[in-house]
Amino acid sequence: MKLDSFYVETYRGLKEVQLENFTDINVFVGKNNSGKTSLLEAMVLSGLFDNAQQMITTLVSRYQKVSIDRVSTMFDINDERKKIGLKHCLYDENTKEHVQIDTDIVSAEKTESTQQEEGIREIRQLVLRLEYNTCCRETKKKQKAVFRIDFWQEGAALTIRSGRRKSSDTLTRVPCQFVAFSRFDGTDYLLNALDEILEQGKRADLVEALQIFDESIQNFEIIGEERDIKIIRDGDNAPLSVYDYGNGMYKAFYIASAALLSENGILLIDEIEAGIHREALEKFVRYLGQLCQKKKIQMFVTTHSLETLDLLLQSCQQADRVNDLTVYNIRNTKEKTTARRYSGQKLKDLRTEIGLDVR
Amino acid sequence: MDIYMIMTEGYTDCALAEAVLQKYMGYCQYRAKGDMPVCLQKLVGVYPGELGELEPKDMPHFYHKGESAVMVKTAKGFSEIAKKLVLVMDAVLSAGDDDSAVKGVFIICDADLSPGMSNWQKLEADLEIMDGVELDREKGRISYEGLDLCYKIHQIPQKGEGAVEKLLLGMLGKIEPGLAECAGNYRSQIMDERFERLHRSWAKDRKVQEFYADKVQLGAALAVLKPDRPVGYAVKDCLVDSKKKQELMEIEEFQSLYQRLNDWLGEEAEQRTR
Repeated sequence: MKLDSFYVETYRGLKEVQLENFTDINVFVGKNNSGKTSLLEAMVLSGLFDNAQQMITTLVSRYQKVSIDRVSTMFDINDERKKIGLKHCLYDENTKEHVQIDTDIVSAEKTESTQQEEGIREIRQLVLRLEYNTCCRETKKKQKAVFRIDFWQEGAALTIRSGRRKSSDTLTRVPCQFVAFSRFDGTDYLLNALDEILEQGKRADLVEALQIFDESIQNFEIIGEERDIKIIRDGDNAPLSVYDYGNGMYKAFYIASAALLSENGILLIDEIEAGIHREALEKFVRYLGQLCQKKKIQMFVTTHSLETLDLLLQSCQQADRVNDLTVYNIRNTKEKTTARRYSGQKLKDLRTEIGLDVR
Repeated sequence: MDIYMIMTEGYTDCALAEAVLQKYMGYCQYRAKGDMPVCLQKLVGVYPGELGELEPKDMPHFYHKGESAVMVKTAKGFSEIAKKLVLVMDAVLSAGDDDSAVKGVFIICDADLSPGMSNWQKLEADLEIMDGVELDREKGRISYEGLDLCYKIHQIPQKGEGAVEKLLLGMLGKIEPGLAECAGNYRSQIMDERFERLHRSWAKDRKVQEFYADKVQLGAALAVLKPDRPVGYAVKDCLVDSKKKQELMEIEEFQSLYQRLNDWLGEEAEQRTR
């Protein structure tokens, strides 16, 4: 299953932006606040995830502290205008079918109460319902699913629970991972990902990825009650915690784990180059490109770095798959959002013949 | 600000166009990128380190006068003109709202041999088959993904066959007649049949060999004028002499080129835009 196209009628600052003809590697570039990260978030919200916790983590990841008020503002529940309108189209290469999924917020109900038991406690609840309407272009088969997210706040403590979809929706189950470092400290997220990696027997694949950053790495373990991630290296007396390394290694764990869990699915990476040195970036980009091709992963990344863009282009060119790369330049004004598309070949010509900075 | 683009076939006609702009039409060269309009800044190349970093890059030059700005760029070959023009239009479009200031493109190419289709007809045909390009030959307009520009193609020479070297040799005759005569004698010696093997390495057709002989003759003279610099500097600094405009205007081809550039970019054009 691959994402074929994506339309955002409205989400945060994005307005009526149509993105079409996605390829295997898709890069969003643009100025700050153009909406690149919002596009990745919108993709998550539009129903690609089958894991509710991941969806919620993604949605709240841009904030340091989450509360019901924050979520209310995010979805603007007091505003009568439409808050979210998303449409994505998936293409199944096996059945040659296109499945379009429309996402709307059905309702957002907020309640507040005060409980007298065990002292006075203020309890607030927000129930968000997202509706997914799916339709197969070829067979005309339609399905509807409603996804419920409960936000429950007692005092300062916030609990998020996901509800079940009312109907099973096998058409939209796509393995999907979203990685955004600049936003949150996702140790739990990383640990969960590592647990899944180990369960799937992909330890060796992950070690291979980490060796791009440090050739002496032999293995990793999760140790102790606090579940510290330890890295075992040649020549070290004792394993080091991942936190003893710089941000680049921490990030390598994230991206590599996410990539390995996205087999036959979709990988979304925000600011892929942040925290990674140029030398490691070149090898890492090549590794990701090869992994995505081997494991049939469709990748969507955002970047501010022309160097990263050139490395992606170089990697695709060396693998003789230049047209598997597409770049979208996102531009956002008060009136509209636009996306200017460059195919891999066009990007190559623009970069090498006239040195155009496409960001 | 109104922005125009000049695209040339090669380095020598690029140097010639720039020299005319500066010496006879009062245009000044931009020296700082930040001083230029945004869409021209986009045309200052930032080339990738990995993909062909050792290949020479032809950076355009940028000029301004009053409320007009001009980019002059070589396509490095006739067959590259259409492709490079489309890429430049992509660059203009990537600048966003500023693209509305770009008014048109002026293409300078050689006439070469003219059996059948002329070069400007071939160029129009090349442009028409580029993805996304629409050409209105009658109105002289080219549009690409919403960008609509006027275009003009100027062949050198306007009449007959040849290339820009013929014009430059004529200019040499006006500026340095003695040197022109020496270069002519040198050409005669080089074109002697004892060098036939070398002539055949240039081209099989005798007429095309004569075009290359023009380049040899001109190159020899320009090397004397500026021994330590590429030929473009000799064209700009020596052949287009600011004190010899009257003499150069006696050359029909030079007058034709100057007149067309002036019509398009010069005083009359400025008055039209006010």
